[in-house]
Amino acid sequence: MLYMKNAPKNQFWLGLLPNYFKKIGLVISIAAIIAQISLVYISQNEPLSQKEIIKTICSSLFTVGLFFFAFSKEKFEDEMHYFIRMRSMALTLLFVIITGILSPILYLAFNETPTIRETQGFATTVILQYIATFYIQKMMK
Amino acid sequence: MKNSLKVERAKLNITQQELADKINVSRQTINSIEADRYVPSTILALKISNVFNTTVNSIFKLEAED
Repeated sequence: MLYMKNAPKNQFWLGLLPNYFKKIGLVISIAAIIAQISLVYISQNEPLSQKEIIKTICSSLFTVGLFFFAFSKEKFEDEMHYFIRMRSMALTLLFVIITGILSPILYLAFNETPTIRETQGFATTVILQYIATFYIQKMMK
Repeated sequence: MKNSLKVERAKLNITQQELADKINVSRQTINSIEADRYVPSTILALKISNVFNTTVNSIFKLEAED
């Protein structure tokens, strides 16, 4: 993240990715979903470990795509968007804290231990939560 | 905080988009300010008052609960 030129001195501006990263992010995420779905049909003869590797790569790509989408500029980014973004981040942080408190209890309740996939799922959920909060708030403005 | 942005805009006969272009913000931001859903920064308030050639106080007014 870079410091943005000409930013008001009392505001910490996030140097977001350019707007075209939204499209790149969407393409990566959709491609990752399609690849993961098609994996079920295509690689029926593939060994299980290889399937797992491809699955992990696909989920990582999906998360990276979401990250690009979430942290790229809107077509027109001004101080109100900055305000919405900051509020979305605060709400997402609240969501993360609540989830962080609740998840170990849920794991204990179901007698399970968190795996890498669940951690990755958590990261994806956080980014999805941020995107949802940002756009809901933007629509309400 | 209340504001008379809509009235001032009507006096100058300019659209939300035209005002937004003049102060380099989105039309959505102007709409939110007019509807009291967003309070602009000091810089933006000063830019708005410059467009209407008036003071910030004459456009933005504090209310009892502020």
